[in-house]
Formats: sequence, structure tokens, C-alpha cells
Amino acid sequence: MIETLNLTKRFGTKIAVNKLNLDIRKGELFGFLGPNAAGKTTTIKLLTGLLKPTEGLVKIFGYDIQKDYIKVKSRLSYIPDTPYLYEKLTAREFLRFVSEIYLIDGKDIEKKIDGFLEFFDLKEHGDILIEEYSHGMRQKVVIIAALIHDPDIIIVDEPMVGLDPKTTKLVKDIFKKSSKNGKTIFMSTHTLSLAEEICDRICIIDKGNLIAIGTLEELRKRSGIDGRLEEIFLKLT
Amino acid sequence: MKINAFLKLWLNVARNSIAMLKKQSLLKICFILLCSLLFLAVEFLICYVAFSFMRGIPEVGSIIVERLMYLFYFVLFLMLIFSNAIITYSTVYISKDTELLFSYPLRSGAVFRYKFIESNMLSSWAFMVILVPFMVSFGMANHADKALYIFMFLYFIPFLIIAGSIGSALTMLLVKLLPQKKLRTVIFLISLFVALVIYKSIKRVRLEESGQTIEIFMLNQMLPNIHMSHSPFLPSYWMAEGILKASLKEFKDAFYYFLLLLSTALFFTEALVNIAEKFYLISWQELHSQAREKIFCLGRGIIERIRPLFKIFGMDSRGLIIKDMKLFWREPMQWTQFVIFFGMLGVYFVNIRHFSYNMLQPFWKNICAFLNLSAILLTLGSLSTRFIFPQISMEGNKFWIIGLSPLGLRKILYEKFLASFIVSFFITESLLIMSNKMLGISGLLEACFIWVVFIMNMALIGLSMGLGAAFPDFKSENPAKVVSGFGGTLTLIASIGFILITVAATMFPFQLFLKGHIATYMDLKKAAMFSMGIVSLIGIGLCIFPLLYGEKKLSAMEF
Repeated sequence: MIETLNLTKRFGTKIAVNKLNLDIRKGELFGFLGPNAAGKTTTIKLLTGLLKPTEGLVKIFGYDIQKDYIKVKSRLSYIPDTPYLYEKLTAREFLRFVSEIYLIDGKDIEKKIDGFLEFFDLKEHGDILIEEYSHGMRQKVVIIAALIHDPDIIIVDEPMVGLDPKTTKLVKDIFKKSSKNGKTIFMSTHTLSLAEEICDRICIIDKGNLIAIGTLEELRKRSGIDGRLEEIFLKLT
Repeated sequence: MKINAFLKLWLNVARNSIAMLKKQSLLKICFILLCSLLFLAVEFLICYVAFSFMRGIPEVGSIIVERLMYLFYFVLFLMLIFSNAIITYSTVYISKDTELLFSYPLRSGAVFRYKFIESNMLSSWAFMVILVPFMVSFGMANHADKALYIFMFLYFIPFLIIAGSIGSALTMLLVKLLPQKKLRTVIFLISLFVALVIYKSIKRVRLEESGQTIEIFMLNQMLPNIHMSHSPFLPSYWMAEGILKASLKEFKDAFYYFLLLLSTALFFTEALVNIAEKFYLISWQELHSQAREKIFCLGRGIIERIRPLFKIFGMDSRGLIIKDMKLFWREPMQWTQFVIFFGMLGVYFVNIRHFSYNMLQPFWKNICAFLNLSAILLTLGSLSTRFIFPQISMEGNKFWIIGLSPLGLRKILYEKFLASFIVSFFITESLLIMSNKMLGISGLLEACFIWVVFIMNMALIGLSMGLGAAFPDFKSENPAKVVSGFGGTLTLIASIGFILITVAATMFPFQLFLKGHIATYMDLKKAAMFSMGIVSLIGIGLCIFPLLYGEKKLSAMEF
């Protein structure tokens, strides 16, 4: 589903991502970890086509994201770490806007939006301007916007920042359920317990280089630590 | 469907913004509306009197109006291109919603079209508002047919689109070709080049060489005959020519110029969207891929080197001044506006020496000198609104850093005021002295002008800083958007109003003296001092009260 071939990104002389080779399968919940400035967000922006690789290639559904970005993006969702939302729109208006961008049929959309707003405890705030929202509420809107067109791939950068425990649980369940239903989830996070709990495979990068990749068991073997992901992470980075 | 989505987005944003307006105080809305109407009425009145006066001048009246129209639309065209180029950079490239839009399955051209319309509207609305009274007064002073107004309206839209397309294309080209570090140098060089071209294109002829009558010769000296403004290949020429034809009821020709503008606008838009389809996303990606390296290898730049000069302000204030200077310097799209406006004034003043000022009648000499003073003050007024007003707002969500510091809000406000005052005082007084020297004015008039510019710097910067603190917009990332709000509009209106009052008050005794209503030089001196007293009183009030009001409002704010 997601394939990177020698993916490299340089900012001037600084190498942010260095010859990264990944192959993420359909239905996989993939955790992407690394310390600050490891190149996680840059990798995500390369995967979503927001940045152009200096070298290498990103293939999603077999398409080159740089060339066939419309085909790829119509089946993909991106949840950024610091999302932008139109402040002068209500959540409902914003979600309608996103639905139209994804060409979702107008008849079903109101029902779908209502369902999501209710699910995320936002129904009574749905007609309030986004500028009035707290950080967590905004994050919920972004998550709904990412789910509304039923994407095959969800790429997430720090999904749980600002969410209350109840919503965190909801999002975790959504990711697990989506993964079971054949959706691929690429998740970058600093919350190691989350990655440990829900990810099928985990990749650790540092200074743009891939340090380790595999299931939790494989990472344990590789690091020689039979403990929590936190200990493995600290040893490897 | 996607076009519909953007259309609905605009409509929703507009509707919600209007709904939010309803929550504001009715008094505030009425006040701003009234001020705006008053401003437009005063502009209309001044333009109407000026057009009627020019029309009435024997022999050269119609030539003056014609020359003025070519020149006006030429300058307007350049300013629109410039304004669009700058706003395109912040709206099309830097704005945060571009990342959101590019994460959706939208073609590069579609995102650009949406951002271009936004940028074009943002850059042009103020020009449109100012243009309406100017054009209506032209029509009324010329007793023109009602069809002229229809033509003017028809001309405006394609004219704005053409200027916007050129400005946006220029920015896209610069961003595509140059890394950000070089962009600063290139923008500076282009500005210098444009100023030089304008300077060089101003015709300089001696009376004896010209073979013209003294009236035509003096007219040429006063209204610079810029060759380019008469080029038939320029949209500004089509606009001016079309309006002049329509005012003469030559509607067939006027329609021809409309078609010329319309077809060019359509061609430019189509071409721009096609270029954007290929290059916008790539150039956007490149801009966001630029080197993240140390700005200065040795950790020292020009600003760091002059740090010791600010010792007198104390360590805490010095830190704030250095921070503001660095932020300003590292944002080329900000300071180039500043450089270009004052730079163009500088070029114009340098050119004054060719105007044979000494040959003018005393009445016209006075007019010339006061026009120069007005040009400096209006530039100061618009730039203080543009740069000083958004300063507090631009601190945005970082305000807690300095807001919680031991500096205190009061000190922050007054430090920003003082730093801005010193910079603008130095620039405007230098320009004024240069203009005075070139025109050869001295003595009482020069002393008055120097005093007026001092007071105006204090008043306009105090006003902008004070109202900027009273009406901040911490959510906006674009200073141009901050200025277009209630506080910014109020500041601009109040600034222009005060400039008009000041120029009129300063001019009044000198004109009375020329007409013989003030008999002796001593009386003139007394009258001038009285005028300066009034200007100073209003100026000091306009500086202190908004600053105190801003300080009070800022202290009461919750972050």
C-alpha cells in the first residue's frame, strides 16, 4: 500500500530523511517513532506529497504520489500535528466543505456528519464557529474530516495531542477497527505506550536514518531488551 | 462540484463574519461606517474641486486632466502589481490553509485559482474604495454622460485582474527560481531597477530647447511626463484612454478599450492558471523545503553588530528592540514595501531639481512645496497604519512570552512606539530636507515643515500603536488582514483626516500672505506659529490618548 524507495530529503546540506525504505502492507497499523527532529514529520509530508523528495520515490497504491497525486489523495487522509481549520466556519460547514472536495454525495452527507459529530461528542457544538473551539475539539474535527470519505490509508502525525481520555480511547478503537477492516494506518507518535498497544509494526528513525523496524517482539530481539518499548526506544536512539 | 465547494466556503465565511459583526456594538459599527462615508465624501469633494479647477484653467486645463489620468492609472497599475505580488506571497505561499488544501485531492491549478481570487481581492479592495470617489468626481466635474460610470465599472474588474495576474506571476516566478535568501536581494534589486526606470523615463527638457509655451512647459515640469504611462501596450493606458473617450461620449472607442481589457484579463487569468497547474505545487514544495541552516555562520549579523548601540535603552528593552528588528529584517515581503514607498519618494525628490521650481509663480511654488509635504505625510500615514498598527497583533500567541516578562505591557508598548518613532523620524525628516533643498525653500516654511513632520511622526505612530494595542487581532497571521479590520480602518481614516487638517492648517497662513491678507512677514510668522500650535496640540493629543487607551485595553485583556 505504502512503499518508499531510497526516500531522501535534504534541506540545503542538512539531511532530514536518508535513503528510507519502507513497505507498509494493507490493513497494517504502522507506528513511526523517533526523537525530536528525527525526520518523522518530513517523512509524513513526503508520503502525503506535501514535500518533494530530493531522491527516491513514494509509491502509494502503486502510484507515484508526485505524479498521480489526485488518484492517491482521493483515497488517503492526513491528520497533521498542528492542523489548520477555517476559523470562521462551523464544524458542520467545514465538514461539508471537505465532503464536497472528496465528491461525496450530498444526500448522505448530512447523516454522515451528524453521526460523526455525535460519536465524537460534538453534536451540540456543530454549529458554533471553530474559532470558539478548544484544542481538543479542533483535533476532533480534524479527525472527523479525515474519516469522512472513508479513506483506505490514514496518515497521522501525533493523533492524541489535546484529546481527553474518552476521545483518546475512541480514536484508538477507530484505528484498530479500521485496521481490521483492511485500512492502512501510518501513525507517527511520541506516545510510546500507544504505539506499543495498538501498532502491528513499529519503525524507529533517528537523524533521518532508519534505526529499527519490526514487530515489538522483533524490536526486543534486535535491542536485546526484553522490556517495554520505552526502554527499547531509549536504547536504540 | 469543487468550484461549488470553494464558493460555499467563501459564502459561509462571509455570512459568519457578518453574523459576528452583529454581536459587535452598534455604536462601533455606525461610527466606522460614518467615518468611512465621511472620508469618501471628503475625498470626493477634494477631487471634484481639483477636477473643476483644472478644467477651468485656460489652454492647458484639458491637457492637465488628460496627463493626470494617464499618470494616475499608470501609478495605480504599478501599485496594484506590487501589492498583488506581496499579498500573493503571503496568501498563496505562506498561508497555513495551503497545506490543508494540498493534502486534499485538488489540482494545483484549482488551489491556485481559489488563492489567487482571495489574494486579488485582499490587495485590491482598498484601491477600489479610494478609486470610486475619484472617478465619480471626474465624471461630475466633466458633466459626463451616465454611461461613463457604467464603463468605469466595466473597466475596473479586468484592470484589477490583469494587475493581479502580473503580480502573482511575478511572485510565482521569483519563488520558483530563487531560494528565500536570495529572494530578499532580488526583490531589493528589482525595486531599485523599477525606481531607476521611472526616474530615467521622466522627460527633462529646458524651456529654450522645448519650443513650448511657458504654460505647457511648466505643466510638464509639475506633472512628470512619464513615457511609459503613454504606452499603448499598457492596460493603464487603455483604462485612461477608455475613460477619457467615454467622458467625451465616444462610446464606440470606449467599448473597444473595454474589450481590450477584458480579453487581456481573460487571457492572463487562463495563462496564469495553466502556469500554476505546472509550477504552483512544485514552487510551494520548494519554498517549504528550503535550507534549515544557521542564518549567520559566526552567529553575528548586521543587527547583532549594532546591538551595543541600543545599550541606552536598558538590557530588557534592548532585547525587545533587537527581536523586532530581526523579525522585520527576516521578512523581506514586509520591509520591501517600506523601502519601495520611501524609495519612490526619494527618487521623486531627487528629480525635483529638474522641475525649474524657481520659474514658478509664488502661488504654484507654495502648492508644489505643500504637495511634497502631503506626499511625505500620506506615505507616513499609510505605512504607519500598515506596519505599526499590526505590531502588537503580530505578537499573536507568542504574546505570553513578553506579556509575562518583567518588562510589563506598558514598557513593551512604549518601547515599540519609541523604536518606530526613531526610525520613521529619521527617514521622513531626511526626505523632507532633501525635498526642501531640491525645491530651494528655506526659512520660515522650512522650519514649519520640519516641525510638522516631527509632530506627525509622533501623532501617527502613537495613533497606530495605541489603536493597534486597543484592537489587536491575535489570531491573524497576515498583517495585511489585521490592518483591514475595524481598528486598522479607523487608524487609516484618522491618520488621513489628521494629515489633511495639518496640511491645511500649515498652508493657510502662507496662502493668506500670498494673497495679501496678511500684510507683514512678522504677522505671517505669528500666524504660522499659531498654526503650528494648533497642529502640535492635536498631534500630541492624537499620540497620547490612543497610547493610553491602548495600554488600558491591553492590560485588561486576558491571554
